[in-house]
Amino acid sequence: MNKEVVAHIENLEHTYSSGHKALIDINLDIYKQEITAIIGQNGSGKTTLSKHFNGLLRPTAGKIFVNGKDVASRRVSEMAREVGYVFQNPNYQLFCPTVLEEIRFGLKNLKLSDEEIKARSREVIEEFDLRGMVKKQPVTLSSGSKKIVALASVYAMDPEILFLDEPTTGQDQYGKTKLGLLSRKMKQLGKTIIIISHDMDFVAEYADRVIVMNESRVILDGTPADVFSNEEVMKTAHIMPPQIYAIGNHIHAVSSETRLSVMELAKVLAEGDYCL
Amino acid sequence: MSEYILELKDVNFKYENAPTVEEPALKNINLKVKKGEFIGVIGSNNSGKSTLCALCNGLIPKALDGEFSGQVLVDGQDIKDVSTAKMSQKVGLVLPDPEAQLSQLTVYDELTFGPSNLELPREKIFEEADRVMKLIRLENFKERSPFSLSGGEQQRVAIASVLAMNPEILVLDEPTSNLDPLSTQEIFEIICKLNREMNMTVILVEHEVELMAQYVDRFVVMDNGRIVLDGSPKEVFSHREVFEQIKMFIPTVTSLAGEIDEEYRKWGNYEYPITLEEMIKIIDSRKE
Amino acid sequence: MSDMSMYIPGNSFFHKCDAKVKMLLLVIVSIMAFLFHSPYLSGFLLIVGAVFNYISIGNRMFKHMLTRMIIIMMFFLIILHGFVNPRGETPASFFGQEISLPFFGAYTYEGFYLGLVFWLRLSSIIMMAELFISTTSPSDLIHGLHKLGVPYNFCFMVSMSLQLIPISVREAQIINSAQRARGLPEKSIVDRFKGLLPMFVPLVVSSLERMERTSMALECRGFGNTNNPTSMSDIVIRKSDIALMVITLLLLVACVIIRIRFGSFDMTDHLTSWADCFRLVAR
Repeated sequence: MNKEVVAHIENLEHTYSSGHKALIDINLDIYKQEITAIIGQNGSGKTTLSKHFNGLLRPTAGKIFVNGKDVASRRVSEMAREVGYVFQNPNYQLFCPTVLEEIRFGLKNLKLSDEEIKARSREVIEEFDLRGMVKKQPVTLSSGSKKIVALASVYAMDPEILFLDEPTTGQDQYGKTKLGLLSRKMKQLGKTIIIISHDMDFVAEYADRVIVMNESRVILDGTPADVFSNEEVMKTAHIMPPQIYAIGNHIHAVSSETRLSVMELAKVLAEGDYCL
Repeated sequence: MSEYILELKDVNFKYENAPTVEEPALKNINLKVKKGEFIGVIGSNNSGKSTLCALCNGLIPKALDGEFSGQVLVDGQDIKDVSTAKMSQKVGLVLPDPEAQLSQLTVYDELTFGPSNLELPREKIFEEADRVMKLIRLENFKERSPFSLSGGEQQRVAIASVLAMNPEILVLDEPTSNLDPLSTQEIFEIICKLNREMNMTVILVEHEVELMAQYVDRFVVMDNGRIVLDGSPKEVFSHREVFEQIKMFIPTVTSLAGEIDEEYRKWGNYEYPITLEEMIKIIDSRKE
Repeated sequence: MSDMSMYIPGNSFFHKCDAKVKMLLLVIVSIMAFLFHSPYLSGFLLIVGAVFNYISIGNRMFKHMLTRMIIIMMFFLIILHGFVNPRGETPASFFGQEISLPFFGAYTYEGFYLGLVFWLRLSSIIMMAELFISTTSPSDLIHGLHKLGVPYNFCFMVSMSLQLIPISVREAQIINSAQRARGLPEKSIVDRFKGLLPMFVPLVVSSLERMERTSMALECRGFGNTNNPTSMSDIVIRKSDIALMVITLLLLVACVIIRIRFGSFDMTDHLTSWADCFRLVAR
């Protein structure tokens, strides 16, 4: 199956004015309708890379194309149609008196007609199950609901690519699961999702593809199973693989499938069908 | 003197300024903590964990308004009878946001700030600050502005500044929720060292259940303002049905053992593993 | 920019000097600079200040914001006064030529003289202020203020605000990125004006939330327990500090006596050439 490329990065480099090289020789294709996770320690370049997709940062060398068009020549507000960005702290994003207005803010910026805005916001409220809180003030919501409202308000603008920066910070298990399921739903609705995260359990569960960054470079790119079973790379990037992969690696039971599930591993263990 | 360093008796608390929340934050809490214990408190958001933390050093009911009933005893003393400042020498509280806890111009000032507010003698303050600085390994940052440090380093400074008051109990409210995995590991190791080597009583609120399982002596599980489980890690995680009900996960290795329950019991183990090391040991011994 | 203060750590005489002594020095220099209407004393003070600064912070003084300010002010004050000072009468000759601006008239000797005097007065004070700021650590400054009777809570507020400015700046940048990424228009000035609300609300909300947590953390560390916490400052008044203080005070007394006996040495009304501007007494 041929996968459609929505973003293409070529020999991208970024050097900050301090002289620090935050990105070195990045070459990537991001595919449509995939959940891609970028992982790595703080300072490995994840956030710097993500800011290039909508022009918040400009490459100091190399090129980045979104939907076939070079980002370099375009404004951030223009890119907002194509690349949505949900920041780690929803408090930095939410400012409207009601959830409904929050969702409409981006749509107004896109200069849509009133009918279009109404129709689109109704659709989003339905998809994100926000009916109960449209009249509420975003500031008063729980941290889990704030995250979802922030996500919905960006999703409403119908961008091709959605970035989620540390979506699970401060979330409990219920909140994480909800965000994970919403990501899957958005994917099914045709979106391309890129997650930047330290939460390896979340990444292992929901990502289709994992990109590992270390010291400004991409050092590994593959399915969760490929990545978390590569013990050498995990060590270099100071990443603790999820427990399930740690056991899987120990008994050499990680096959080349996309991801390892508890059930699958349990079956192997129960049948004693493994070697050390 | 009682044998418990911290005792909560029938505590109920309801915030005054929380129009959106109708239910009390804490309902009928009873908890007894022995000196030197390492307790992990887990639960969903809004289950009352943070409220419990604020209760331990008397911020509740003194600084945060609400309806309070019951009794909290620290080292046999009722928290209502002691000022928050005096209490800070018994109970140190570390908060989730490292930056918000810092206020001074240098890391060293940060360490001396608390004790100087208590009007302790100068020499003693310097002695404590130097001791804590060595303990938490902050020597290299001594003259730096705490605001120029990374999140993990800031949280270390915040912990050190609380330790400089020489408390007997350390209460940490999600200290690693804003940190990356490497810094998280580092903070856990510091906390563990304080508990094992200095016999500090520690109450740690966190989401990182798998990491906590490696360190804590006892888990307290909260849901909706109540304590639903309280016991050793093995005991607590054996109640899988409770965790399912309150929508919380148990360590993957524990649920893995649960999945193969029948087979697992045949291996001659009656307790479920809670850490990766344990599970791997069991698997290894099985193959040998 | 993680540090808002202009403090430059070091180990010089003035670094070890008590903040109160340096504050007094600044006050005395400010009085002296305004005693005479002649360029000589304030010029002398400027040179002394510059030498002190060089001893304390070396070459870094040339890059200091306040040094730059002095140089910018020199051009600004001397040129401006030359043209616009109302006391200006005698047009100055630049190699036999007069320079004049439409509407303001010619550049005058009196204007130049007054501009020079005014610049030297201000810059000698700024030079001393630079010495004070670059050699006094913010925490010593706060302790000094507290010792001089300013309430502890107020001093604490000052130092806390110093810290919060860079944090708020950083937060504002993140919020700005967040809203631009939501398509906040950024083309015209009207757009920018409209963009203030989406910036302002999150900034206020996050500041308030942080303040709430900060106040909790401070409470836990005994803040508010006392108005007189143990002083942790290492600086004590040395003999040399007292000597410095005595010398400056004596100098001040001498200047005041000269001022009373001989007047302010104002040359403004006796100027007919460039050389006249630099005479101590009139011909």
